[in-house]
Amino acid sequence: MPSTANGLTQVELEDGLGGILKGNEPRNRAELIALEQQQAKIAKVANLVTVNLQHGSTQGSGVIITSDGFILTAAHVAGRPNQRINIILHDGTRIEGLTMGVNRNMDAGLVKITKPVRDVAINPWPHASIGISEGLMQGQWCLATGHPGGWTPDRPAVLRVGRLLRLLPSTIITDCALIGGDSGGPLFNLNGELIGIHSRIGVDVDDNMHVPIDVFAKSWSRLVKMEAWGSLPGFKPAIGVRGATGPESEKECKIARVEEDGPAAKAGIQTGDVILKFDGLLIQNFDQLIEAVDSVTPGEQVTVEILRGSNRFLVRLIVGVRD
Amino acid sequence: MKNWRSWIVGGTVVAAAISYSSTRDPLVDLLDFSRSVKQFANASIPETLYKDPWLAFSDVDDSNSLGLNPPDTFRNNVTVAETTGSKLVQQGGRRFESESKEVSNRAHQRNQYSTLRAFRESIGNQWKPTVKILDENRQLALGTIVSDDGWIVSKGSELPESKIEVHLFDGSTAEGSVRIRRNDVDLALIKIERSNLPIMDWNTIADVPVGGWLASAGARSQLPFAIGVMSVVSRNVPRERAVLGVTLGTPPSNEKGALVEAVVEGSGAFRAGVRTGDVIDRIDGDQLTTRDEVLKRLGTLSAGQRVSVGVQRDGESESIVAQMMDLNHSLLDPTEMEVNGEISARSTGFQKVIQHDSVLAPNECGGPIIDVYGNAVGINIARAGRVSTYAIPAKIVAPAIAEMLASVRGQANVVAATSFNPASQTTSNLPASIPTGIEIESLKPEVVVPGPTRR
Repeated sequence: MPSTANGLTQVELEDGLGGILKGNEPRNRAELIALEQQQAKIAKVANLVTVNLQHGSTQGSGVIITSDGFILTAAHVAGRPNQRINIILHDGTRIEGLTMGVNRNMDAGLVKITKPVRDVAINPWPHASIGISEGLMQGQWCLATGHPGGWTPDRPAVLRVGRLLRLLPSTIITDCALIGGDSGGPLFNLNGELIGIHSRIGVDVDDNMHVPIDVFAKSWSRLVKMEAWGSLPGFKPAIGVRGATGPESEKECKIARVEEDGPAAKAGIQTGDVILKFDGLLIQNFDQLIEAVDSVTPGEQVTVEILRGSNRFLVRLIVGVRD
Repeated sequence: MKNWRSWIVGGTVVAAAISYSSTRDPLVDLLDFSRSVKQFANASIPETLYKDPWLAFSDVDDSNSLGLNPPDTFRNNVTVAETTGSKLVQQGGRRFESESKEVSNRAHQRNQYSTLRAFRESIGNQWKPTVKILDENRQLALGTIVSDDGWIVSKGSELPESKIEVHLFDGSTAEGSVRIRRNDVDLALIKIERSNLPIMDWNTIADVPVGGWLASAGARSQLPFAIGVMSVVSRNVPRERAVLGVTLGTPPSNEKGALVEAVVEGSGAFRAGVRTGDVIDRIDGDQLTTRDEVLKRLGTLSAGQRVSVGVQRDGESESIVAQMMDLNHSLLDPTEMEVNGEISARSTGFQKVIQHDSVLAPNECGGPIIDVYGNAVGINIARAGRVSTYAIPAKIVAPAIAEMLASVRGQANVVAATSFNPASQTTSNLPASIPTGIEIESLKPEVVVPGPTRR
């Protein structure tokens, strides 16, 4: 992963933080004041590097991490590689990017700013300082920014403060409250270094999960090459169809069975239909359909073109999750 | 097929039994639990697990505490024995270990006792004007005492017209009722018959930065019941219309009323038990025959209002009381409703809000927020979603309270007089023997905007 030179978000530590840096609670008013001042410093710069990402009906957040415009986000926000994506900067400026690779096992995704073209030597994109997630300690204070509920005009990125509750190689769990729209946004430590990317939540308001930054470092070369791989446990996309086998099955994707009450059934797809396109992708056999379904996020609404007899239909389908 | 929107990772917290095995280890007796001890298995609990409840029990300054003496030091681990006779007994060391890991996660939370404790120095005595407001033992909201003769400000949309009970800092209770409401800021004044009460001193100029602490003062002790940070710069929250939370259609076969085609999860209709297929034909006792009539009638109701909805269900007439709620963006997101808990009925239509990430229930709104320097900087006005609580800044609260107080005391002209310059007065009906003075034209309760002359 690129170096953190000139990252905006790393800030100096206030005096008086004491044991808070190791993950202790503040003990008195003086320590609360020091912690508040540290949080306020980071909040200002975190806002500058947090972005909103939109494509189709999907909306999430992201964080710029390099001067030439790489943005980290969640895999389920980026969606498929090599797609145009709309970006809104902290001041409301709208720019454009391209989705790069997605590591769906970990929910890590990459985006690159493509428009406007900038001479980043003179005019670098404001970007975060990258930290390390190995060595983090339970109880350490952390800050999360993002666009909960989607981007709102005149509302900068929304800050939440919490603590690291649980540290696993695949996930950081904190009590920074997150909700839809926050996915892909940044998690910072008290130094202002990026340590995680928001991914998913549990029912409890204290149950918020982030992708550790080291996952991005390990996946970097594949992400930059626009690879897409894996699926998040429990969130594997499915539409509930089985493909026909037989001599024709190499040239067309005919549906042999539609699962009752499944996403395909709800969209109106019937046994015998031939799938021509799925979310804009040309489908020539069932394997290609599987690949196409794998690359969408559960919950996404996609358009499917089907052939029934001699009639072509377009149907709207909401992707489900495999049990 | 699972509902994709269930981004749920099952994470239930299992409370582990804590007990002691040998004579010198500190004992944390969570009241009724752990009656007897038996040496059986050896498992360790991390210090963080028992430190927090111990501190809660031993803090002599906190009126909630039992006044126990804390140990001089906390050891790193306490050897645990299996206990019997407790609901929380864990069988076998290994299972306990994995569950204690779960529980120790909870020990590091932001909102735990050890952190809340640190805010007491900031809150000082500013908690004493905070009150709890109840109706038939059910908490409705918190409030703040604003005059020593018993006027209390709270969140208007949560308060009924009828008599309510106020619980004060000293443990006493008083009966009162709402006397005046300001719908624009969703505040109301309640009067109780008391005197010499501590009153809140609002700071209208303190500027809490994004990232700055906000503590929600409790009504029983110096300990705040919630803390959080200012999440974003103050802004306007546009008013959304109040809804029951149903999609309505025309009922089949000429039935009169409106057919419930869908119920919005988390809405007033949802919480009251309105179901798809119900036909609404009465609102507050009035018969309504068409969908348009029902919609029109619902459109006259405001957030917080409780409405009696008459439905036909499976051939029977039912009456359901539901609360109107603002069409907050959270209501429109099913995930929000699953993973958040309740939001306030009135959560939109505020000129300026302080947004913070403290975790509150709707019936915990209406009380003051205090910054780390001890300034009362606002009133919690709404739980707006999983990640946000709104407060009205003191800069808006203070004048609104002053206006309401002036109005209920019938002192409209006196308020004007404080900024009245007699020298600028051109005519006067005062007799020559009285060189200066203010002529009161009339005394009628009127909301007055403080400012120059009213004559």
